[in-house]
Amino acid sequence: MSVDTLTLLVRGTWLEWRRDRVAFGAMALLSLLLVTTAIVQFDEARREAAHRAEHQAEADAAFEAQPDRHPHRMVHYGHYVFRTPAPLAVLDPGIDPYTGRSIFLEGHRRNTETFAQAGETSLLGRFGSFSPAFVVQTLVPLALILVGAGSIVGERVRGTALVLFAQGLAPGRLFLGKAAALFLLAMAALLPMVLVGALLVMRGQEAWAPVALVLGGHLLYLLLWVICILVVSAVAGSMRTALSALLVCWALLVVLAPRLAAEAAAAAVPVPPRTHVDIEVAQALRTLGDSHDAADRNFDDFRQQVLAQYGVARIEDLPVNFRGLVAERGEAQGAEVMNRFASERQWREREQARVLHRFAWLSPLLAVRHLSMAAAGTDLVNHHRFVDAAEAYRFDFVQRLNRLHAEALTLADDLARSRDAQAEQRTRISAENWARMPDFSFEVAPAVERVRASLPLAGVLFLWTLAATALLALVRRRVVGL
Amino acid sequence: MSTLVPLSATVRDHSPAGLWAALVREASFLARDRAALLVLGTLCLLATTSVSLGLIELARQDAAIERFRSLDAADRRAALEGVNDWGDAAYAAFHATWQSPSPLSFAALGQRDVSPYMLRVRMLALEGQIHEADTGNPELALTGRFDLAFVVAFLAPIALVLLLHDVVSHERESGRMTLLVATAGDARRLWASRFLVRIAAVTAVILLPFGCAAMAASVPPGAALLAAGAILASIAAWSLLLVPLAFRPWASTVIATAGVGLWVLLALLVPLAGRALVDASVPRVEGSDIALLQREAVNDAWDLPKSVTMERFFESHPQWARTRPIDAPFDWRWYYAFQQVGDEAAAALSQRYRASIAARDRWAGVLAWFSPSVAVQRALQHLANTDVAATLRYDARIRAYHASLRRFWYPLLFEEQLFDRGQLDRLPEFATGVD
Repeated sequence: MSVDTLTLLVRGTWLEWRRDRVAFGAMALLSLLLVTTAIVQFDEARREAAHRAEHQAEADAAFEAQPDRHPHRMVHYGHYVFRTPAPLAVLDPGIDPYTGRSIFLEGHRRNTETFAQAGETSLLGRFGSFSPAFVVQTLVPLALILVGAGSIVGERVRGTALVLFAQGLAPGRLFLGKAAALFLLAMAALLPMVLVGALLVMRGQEAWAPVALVLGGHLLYLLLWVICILVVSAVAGSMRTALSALLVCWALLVVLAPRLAAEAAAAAVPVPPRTHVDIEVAQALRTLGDSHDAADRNFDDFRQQVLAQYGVARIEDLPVNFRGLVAERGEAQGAEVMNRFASERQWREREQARVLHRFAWLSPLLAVRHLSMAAAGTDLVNHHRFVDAAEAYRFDFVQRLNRLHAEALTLADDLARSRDAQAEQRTRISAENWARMPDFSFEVAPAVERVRASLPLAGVLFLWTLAATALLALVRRRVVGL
Repeated sequence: MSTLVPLSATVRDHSPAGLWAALVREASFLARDRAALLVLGTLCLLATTSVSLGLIELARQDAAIERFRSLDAADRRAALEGVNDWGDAAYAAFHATWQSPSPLSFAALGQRDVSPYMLRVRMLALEGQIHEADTGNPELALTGRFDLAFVVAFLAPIALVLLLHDVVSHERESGRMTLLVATAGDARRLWASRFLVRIAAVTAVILLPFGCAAMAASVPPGAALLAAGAILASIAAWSLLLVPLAFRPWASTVIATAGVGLWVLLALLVPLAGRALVDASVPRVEGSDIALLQREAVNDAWDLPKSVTMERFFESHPQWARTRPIDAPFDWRWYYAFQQVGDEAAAALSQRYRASIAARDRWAGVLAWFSPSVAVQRALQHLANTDVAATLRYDARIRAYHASLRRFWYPLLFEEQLFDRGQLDRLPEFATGVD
């Protein structure tokens, strides 16, 4: 048995598909879809990145253009930060469309992101967000099924398999030939992704390892489908049984399993609605006292401590503005409470994701989807990373302003400003201070971290493929047995 | 083929009873078709799962609103405990608003998983509050909800492709065609009964779980019937496309591919292309721009002379124009006046934002003519009060409620009435009525 017979077999299968117009129709439709989504996604990612950069620049400029003010006014004026998308979001936007693109940062509050794209697009896209990853994960298997369902059962029904075997072709070779023909189709479907990935690496926008993992994961996933299609096609009694069984498999593994897994995760680890938690946060914050009011009883101990530290008897004798110190202290206490609730929520969300990932053993789609998202940096971990970075930035700029409140203002002016217009004027500090605030910057996790996070799922996918290959070896005999 | 023996005996009969007999015979064929049973069983499982999950979600939303309201009431009591002037009270009191799910929403969860159905508002500028999102875990949102509307829109058509594609070509490929048509006498009735039985089976495995769930959720019979009608119309539309396809003189696999291709085109590509078109023709107003504009207006007030803000406020509220002038650097009347002015500054943009959402929704309605999947989802969401229009109605109710809060507080603030805790019991409550 030479390599020539294998090539012949592959070429024969391709010819057969062309004659049937099956592969032709399916592949024409699919390439159209893939190229369209790749271009649309590429264009959208570029526009979205430009849009966010522009808005960030606008927000920075607006912040710096504020006039001379009381520093606490700037705490309430706040700041907007925008998330720049990960470079690989072009291939796999992951959860990006479902998280907000900006966060409004202000004193005393830990806001959530506003305006997810998903909310603005109504029901047109509810099947999923169209991206190259979605097409390869969901639709390419569908096309492979249509093309490949009849590949072995067809040879058997038509009796051509017997002729081939009589001519000395081993069943293994037949499988290999059919698999090679199908797999070539699968690789063709992956081509737009490979091109975009290569472009990202060549332009230096992304390291090669995560790109290789995203592409390799999808390749393995498609290989798995090719093997499953061959197994079913070898076992099935007729073409229509093979097609029905495979499409049912597709509906269960690709459509149903992820949704059931999500419901299971939601049931296993309940995350209370944000509206509920916000009330609980408000209640917890109320016990801390009002940091706008230096006379609040909750700060009595703090006052004693500060007085002792500076060795004076009254707050009026302090070299710093006690109201600013209280604002700083209150912000720190408030942030501690809010962070406690926020990390509780993040922990619950990550637990939900963990339950979800466990279902990767049930559906290879979940394995490849999370492998790809983790490698691309568009998963929950990276989302939390952004939210935490924004919170750290918020806390830093608010505390810088509170420091100015304590050091650049006198207590007498600060106390009189609600009644005395001249004192109010003196509590306004120079606008130059706003420009001295550091700018926000955020980048996805380093490549090494992302690769490490996606490896376990790559392992699951690999085991899936191994199991399927073992099954294929088992059913080899079915073909001869006819 | 052994099945041909009874065929020749019954199909020639042209009476209604003959049609019934033909249907019964086709049903018994179907019952022995293992591939078809696999497809129907799977579809039934998917439909049952979707309505069960829908009922669970319905109960979850009801419970969440219940708890939200009790948390809110307790929190407001606690917040108002220490206050002793109107300004502080108005600042401290948050008020719950919500949109209860309709019984039918188990079948079409619609916009409720992406746009909030619970929101607390207070006397500050509304545009800074109303755009807040109550998002769940995005990793779960990524998968999308699995409701009956999804099953009907996306999965039922695939089941129909599988069940209908080879009704004709299978007979031809197994060489029985000539014999079958010759013995059947009335070929039209043969094919009609064969197709009808299969379409009816698909309808049954969807409508049965739907009917049970509708009864469990005590959906009003009228709404349930309309929803069933929408489901039926969707199945009929797909059947009208797929039956002629099944008569094409092509191989079964070619017909199946064409059927799935049609599905990809109508269920996925048309909505995708439509979204791109809508994006291009109806410019999206960024919600963040409204919040930004409102924030600038509110913050600028601190640096403007008080009289500028108050004059603007009195333009829309002339009844308070003759009240005592503001002279202190801080006065609650001025504080709430600039919140009102902030809302007014953002009003035009906010109006455009809602108009653009409504316009995009209208375009989606036009698109529905080209995609049965879009059409049936829209119909079910409309009946279940979970469509875009429903979120806009909720938005309008929040605005009306916020206006009623202002009507409550303004007289107390501007007439500078003496603080009287008893008045707080008269705070307007959010109307529970269905919109």
